[in-house]
Amino acid sequence: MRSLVKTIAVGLVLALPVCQSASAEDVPDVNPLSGDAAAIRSGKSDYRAICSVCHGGKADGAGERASSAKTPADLRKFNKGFKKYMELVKNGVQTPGREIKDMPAWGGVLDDPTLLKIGAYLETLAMEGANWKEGVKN
Amino acid sequence: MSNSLRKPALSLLAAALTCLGTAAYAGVTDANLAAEAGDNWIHTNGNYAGHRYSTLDKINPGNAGKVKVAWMTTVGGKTDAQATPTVVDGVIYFPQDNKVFAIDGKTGAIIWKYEHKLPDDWGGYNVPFFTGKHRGLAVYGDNIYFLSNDVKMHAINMKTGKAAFVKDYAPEGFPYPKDFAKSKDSNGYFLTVGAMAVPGTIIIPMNATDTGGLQGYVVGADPATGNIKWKANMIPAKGEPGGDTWPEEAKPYGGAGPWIIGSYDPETKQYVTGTANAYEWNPKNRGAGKMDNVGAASIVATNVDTGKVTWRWCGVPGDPWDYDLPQTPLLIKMDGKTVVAQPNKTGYVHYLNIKDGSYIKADKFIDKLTWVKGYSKEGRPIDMVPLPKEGGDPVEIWPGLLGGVNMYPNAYNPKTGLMYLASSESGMKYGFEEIKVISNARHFGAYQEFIWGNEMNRAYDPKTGKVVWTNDEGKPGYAGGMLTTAGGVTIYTTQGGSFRITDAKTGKTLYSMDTGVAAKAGPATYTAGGKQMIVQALGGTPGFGRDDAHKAEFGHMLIAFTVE
Repeated sequence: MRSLVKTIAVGLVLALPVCQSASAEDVPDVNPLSGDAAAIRSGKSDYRAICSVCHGGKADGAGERASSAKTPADLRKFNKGFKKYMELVKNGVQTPGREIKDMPAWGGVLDDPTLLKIGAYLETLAMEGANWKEGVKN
Repeated sequence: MSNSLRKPALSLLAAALTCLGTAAYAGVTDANLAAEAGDNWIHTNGNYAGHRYSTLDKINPGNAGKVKVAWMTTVGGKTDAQATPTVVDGVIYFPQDNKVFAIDGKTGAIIWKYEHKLPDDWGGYNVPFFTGKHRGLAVYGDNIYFLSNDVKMHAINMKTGKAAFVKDYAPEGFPYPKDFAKSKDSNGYFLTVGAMAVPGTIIIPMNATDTGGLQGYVVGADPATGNIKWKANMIPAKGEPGGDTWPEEAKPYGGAGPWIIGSYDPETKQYVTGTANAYEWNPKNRGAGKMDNVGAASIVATNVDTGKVTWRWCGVPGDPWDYDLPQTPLLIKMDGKTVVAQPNKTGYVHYLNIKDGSYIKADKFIDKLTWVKGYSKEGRPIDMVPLPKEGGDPVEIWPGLLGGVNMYPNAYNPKTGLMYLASSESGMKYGFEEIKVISNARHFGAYQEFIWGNEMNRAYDPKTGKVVWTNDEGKPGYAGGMLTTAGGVTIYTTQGGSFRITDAKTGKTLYSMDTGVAAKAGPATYTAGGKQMIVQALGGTPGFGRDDAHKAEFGHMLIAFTVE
């Protein structure tokens, strides 16, 4: 079943226009470290050390240092799928009219294994409606 | 400029004195700087002493219920509006998103706009959070002194909106933070704080805490050129008092930046400021909580003639909680002597002697306070909660790092003798993690989970140490800041955007209006067209109350009130 989902997801990605993410097709449909206990432990530490300042210690979007212009995502409810997670974290998010990306582009300074581990940790916090398994939905 | 409107004769006299080579200015004079706020609101915090008190009394408990909106306008802000508007001769000057606007205080019409573009490589750790925010302006002579985020001071002519000069401090040891994907060293100073004018000097608080921790300075600049006259180090150097309370290697990235405008005592010629936390938040590189780290989470006084630090008092030794003490110290008279009174994050108001920074007392002003059992007679915390273990479970403490009060300014009314506090009851779970270093910028090495409590706007009596009244606003957050007047009213806007005029003695709401826009700035009052006006800048989203209680979306506007 998992391989079927993966195949469908790959197909969907190939059918999409070329997106802004660098080498999106190199990103697997699902996080290869999903459920990996060691990765989750490491990702939790990285999340707290790097991401929580904006997204909050509980990943609920209630971090102190988020820009008011762009309320940070409640990552417990992240529903855009793993590929989109990787794209957003690597490229950042620009709020129209702002002088700076409110979500910085971390792709230049955090390597893929670190992002995979953080993603694996965030998956463990998923609430109802969250989606880490499917391809890009939005 | 007189206390009301500029008198031509005085201007001519000032111009003549300038021609004779004296230090006189045609516009805002030394005498104007020293005056209490009245028809004008020259200092961000109302006066030198940080009182946010106005001598205007046309709006008072007898007519506050009849206040009406005079005008509304917007400057199109893209992030929090944190500046208290500055008002000179009926014209409002307001900074937002690295722009400055001149606004007709009577009508709300925009007179001119000054724009500054940040450099292309602007960025870095926490920098999106800071970008576009400004907490005030200085005015002196004919100029407004505006600090753009990227460590530049813009002297802007008040009439024309054109820059007389722009001084860049990056080449003088104060680099701005850079996009960490483009720079090998993204550390830098960022200016969200406003400048302050004192006779002959523009004070510039230089802060890099939380963008990597380059150490903080108070800089004195020449009003005519922006050139640095002196710079005062908040972290004591080796050999200075307190210099041995840090590992030497931790000082270059030790933080302790002043990020809120301080106060000035003309008698002792001291600029008194609070300072930020020691950096990193995780204290393992700076003494693991066992060294005091004097200069950080401290109140520091600097002689503005010499630029020498005269004293430092540390309120949270070894600060492991991000309890920085940045708040504007209020300089008030007690028993005939000027004392420094600082309400701060710790949940206490700390009192110090202005002359030497010696400790007097600490009064608790919030209900729930667990991080410590009190302060000793010597001014040291008693029985602080043990620190969490790195990578281990977080500990719960109250108040949280947002503090009993935060950056939102407090006020003092010499007529009521009361201090007005934009306070909150909130806690946090707080833990330490590994300190990441990315593009040479050190990260916090700490995280928090907020425990929300309600916004509590309070009046507190410095003499008795007791809270006199409390307005529980029912939702998390902090009021944008306090204003109090000789008319006997205290004015604030809740974080959720409810503008309130209250009886300064009782806290009773005399007038309220829900604006629907978050308040992150204090109001100001002034005279225009013969009427007392109150102006409030609004902008942002409710937060740090990013929780379920507030439903407001992002908004931005300035709104003025008056009575007929």
